[in-house]
Amino acid sequence: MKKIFAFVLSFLLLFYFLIGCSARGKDEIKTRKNFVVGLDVNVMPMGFLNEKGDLDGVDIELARAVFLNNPYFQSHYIGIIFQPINWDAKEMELNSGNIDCIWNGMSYTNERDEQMKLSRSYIKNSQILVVSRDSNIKELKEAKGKTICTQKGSTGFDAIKNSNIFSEKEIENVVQLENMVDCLNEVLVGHSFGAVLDEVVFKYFVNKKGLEGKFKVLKEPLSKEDYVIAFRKDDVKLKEEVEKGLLNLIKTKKAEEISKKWFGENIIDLKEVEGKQKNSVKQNDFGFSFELFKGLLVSLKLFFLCILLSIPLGLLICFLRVKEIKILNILIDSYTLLMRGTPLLLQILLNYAAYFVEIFRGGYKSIDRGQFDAIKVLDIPKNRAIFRIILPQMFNVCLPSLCNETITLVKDTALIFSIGVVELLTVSKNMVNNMVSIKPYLWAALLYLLVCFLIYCLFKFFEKKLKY
Amino acid sequence: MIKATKLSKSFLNRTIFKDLDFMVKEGEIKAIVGPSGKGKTTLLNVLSGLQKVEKGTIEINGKILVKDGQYVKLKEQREILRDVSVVFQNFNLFLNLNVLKNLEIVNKDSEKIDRLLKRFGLYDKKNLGLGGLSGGEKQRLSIIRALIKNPKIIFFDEPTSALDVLNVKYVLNLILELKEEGYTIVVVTHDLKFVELLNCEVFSI
Ligand SMILES: Nc1ncnc2c1ncn2[C@@H]1O[C@H](COP(=O)(O)OP(=O)(O)OP(=O)(O)O)[C@@H](O)[C@H]1O
Ligand SMILES: [Mg+2]
Repeated sequence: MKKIFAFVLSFLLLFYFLIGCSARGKDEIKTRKNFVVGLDVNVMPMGFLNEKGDLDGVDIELARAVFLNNPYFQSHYIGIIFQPINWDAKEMELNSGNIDCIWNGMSYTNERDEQMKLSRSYIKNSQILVVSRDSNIKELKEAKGKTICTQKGSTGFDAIKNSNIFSEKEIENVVQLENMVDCLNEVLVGHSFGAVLDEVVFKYFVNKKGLEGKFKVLKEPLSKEDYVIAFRKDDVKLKEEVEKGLLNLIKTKKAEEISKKWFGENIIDLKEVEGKQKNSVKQNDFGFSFELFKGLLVSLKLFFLCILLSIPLGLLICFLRVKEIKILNILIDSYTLLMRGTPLLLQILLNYAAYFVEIFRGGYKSIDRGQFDAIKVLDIPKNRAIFRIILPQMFNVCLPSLCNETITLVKDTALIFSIGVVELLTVSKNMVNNMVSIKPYLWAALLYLLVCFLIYCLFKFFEKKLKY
Repeated sequence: MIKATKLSKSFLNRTIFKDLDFMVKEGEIKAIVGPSGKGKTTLLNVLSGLQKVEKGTIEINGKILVKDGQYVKLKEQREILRDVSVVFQNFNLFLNLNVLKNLEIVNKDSEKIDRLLKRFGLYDKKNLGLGGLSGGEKQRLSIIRALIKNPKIIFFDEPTSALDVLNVKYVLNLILELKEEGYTIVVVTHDLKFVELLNCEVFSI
């Protein structure tokens, strides 16, 4: 009877083990679908329909290259597709899951940052003053009083208004033209002193039409903006993988190649969004946010899941182990050996169970044989003996090492971020990224410390209780 | 009553005893003497079911525990051994439990516990941990614990080894009292004076 029980248990063990190994794999297969990039198809030169009617543009090429270069995408998605969207409803498209990201020369705004998860800036765009090649203007303010043109209703016009260089009268007199070609013509023929244009579009245009050297661009921009990629608010993993892919493209010069093709020079680089720290995550000067508590909660959940499953499992295996049944011992030994050596994040739970087995076994072995003799001779019922004598004596011995291991487990929950769970460390990492301040790390460290201290106190309390 | 015949016991390849016959009559005391390491404790262990013999027959109060090396079913063994209790050489009290709980875990009969605690002068120490007991008190507690099981046969393994003269006398009187009360008693000792005072049959191993 006992042997059958032991046998069933060893199978259960094997089952646990296999589940531990395959859980990740299954998850991936279930969620494998296309990686959908949402875009407005009218943004030259980032994403647009070319003469042949095909989707073309810098962002299209970048997205494809990122998809191909980062193995994460191959293992998580079937392929990449581009989905034209209604630009006004872009957040909805994102949140409903119709698209996975918006990648379309979208500039950073605080409002967008509130609503979506934004990548770092991959192109720094600005509104620039373009003048004739022969002009000897050096500074922006020298343009005061001159005739300026720009595209009708463009960001360029806003930039002129907000630049604090031009008077109201001058702003009124700004010539607003239909398109960039007209603006550049105005400058070439001398009707306008200069044109305020979108740098990215201008560079593309110059490169495409072979206009290099015909114009002069003032170094000092009227306004700056950052091109960012938007993801669902909770899709930190995807954002990180895309950024990883971009970084890789930059490192391998693939990004430069794409940039040169479109702009004749390299303007692609992954940088923090300028001025972002001021208004992004709701925060105070302490760099603290309640997001940290949400992360802590996830960390604690992971912790309790692990501890509640791995300690009993460890205890169970320990009791089987001390029964000295040969096949079972070989099985359990290889399990403990295997688990102690495998990557922690894969089988964090079983892994800890394996550690706990060894700790408990040490505790069990430390019990004096005489205690068992007395239990047998005095005919004490098994349950009573285990719960009132054996376990208390075991725990009395193992509590210190159990406490150590438990505290290590708290810290190890941070490793779970690598399978995409947003726990305390991830939250603080994101906050650090957003705030450009390491204070959130300090808060996270403090929270970890607090949790560890509480666990320590709890164990000390039990130690005192069990002491004899 | 214990009747054991032709017992053989060895650890690995080392024979501790061979073809050993041992017998105690109901309500009698029997002393086992012999040099250290000869197998006195081992014999007690075998008679109290803690260890198994390879050969031989053991009969306790008329019931067969093992016949020619064949043990009866576990359930029957437990039934038979219910009559047997041991006061261990080194007490083997439950270290994590206090005086009272050491007794309650064996038998919840609080009336009997209180009576025995009073009789053995441990009543006012019943809530102390084991650390708060002297050697003699531990000895008495382990005797109470053996009695609380309601056995008919009690084994004493070296009951005097850790005690001073006064306590030895106390234990001696106690064993004699227990005999009067009808218990069958086996005492392992190397103290020949003590054996003399017990005034009983002696078994030399
Ligand atoms: N579990 C065991 N495994 C191997 N050898 C054992 C075991 N238990 C006892 N022995 C050996 O058996 C022999 C008899 O031991 P036992 O404890 O019965 O001696 P004893 O007569 O009670 O000695 P003492 O007077 O010192 O208590 C000893 O040599 C001991 O080393
Ligand atoms: Mg002995």
